[in-house]
Amino acid sequence: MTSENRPDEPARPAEPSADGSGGFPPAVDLAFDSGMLSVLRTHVHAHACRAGMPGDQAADVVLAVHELAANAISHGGKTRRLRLWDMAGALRCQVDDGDPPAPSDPALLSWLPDPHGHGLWVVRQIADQMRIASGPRGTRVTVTFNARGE
Amino acid sequence: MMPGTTFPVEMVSGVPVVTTPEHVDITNAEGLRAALAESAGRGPGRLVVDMSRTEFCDTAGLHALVAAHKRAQAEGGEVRLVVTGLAVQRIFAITGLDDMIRSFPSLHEALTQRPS
Repeated sequence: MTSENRPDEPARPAEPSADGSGGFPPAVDLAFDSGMLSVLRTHVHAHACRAGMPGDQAADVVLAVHELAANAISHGGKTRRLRLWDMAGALRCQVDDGDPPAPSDPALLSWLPDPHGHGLWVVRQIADQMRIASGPRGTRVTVTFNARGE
Repeated sequence: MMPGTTFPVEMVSGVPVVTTPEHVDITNAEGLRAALAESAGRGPGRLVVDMSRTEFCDTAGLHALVAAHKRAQAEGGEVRLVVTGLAVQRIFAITGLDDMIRSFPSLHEALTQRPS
């Protein structure tokens, strides 16, 4: 995801790109399995609060990222990764399952069928931005949550 | 953990009550399904799931509960939930399942409220 500067806008601070390269590095970058879901939720909650989200919104964000992680586990890939970026007033989360396509050649899908039912639908209700890059060897879902005021 | 200990089932006032632990998600949803299926065999129709200790539930957990509820409805009954955790209330609200499956703030109310 590239930041676009309109001529009349001041330059924005560097943003993480969708694949995490360039911009600034993730605050959290970990490989996970089903045994780590509780740890993962704790990380997400901490960073959601750090982004300035009130408690109920932070809980929604935890649910959404958990559902993405659960999908990655259910798809049975060997490698799953979670990355979190602290942004000003927002939190960006990225879940990789397997070996997603390179950012220069994304096979973007606006909707992935969710064989396990409703997990992605829940994410869509909660996330402000959602991007899916899916290839034959893996999938990357990147979501952004904007902190809501109290 | 064995499903029998993660999701204990006991009979209370003639109604099977399944108790869920702190989280219900893909890591233990199969155990929940097994406990719910076993409970259905103990008395047709009515089943209470006591989620008062549960602080987190995901869509995998919801699916197990919905399946049990539909089975119970087919026998003229229903699943009733005891829900106190805010995040649990929230996922039911987000998915609209709070309109499908009744929840109560205490086990006593879940057991004693008359069917609507």
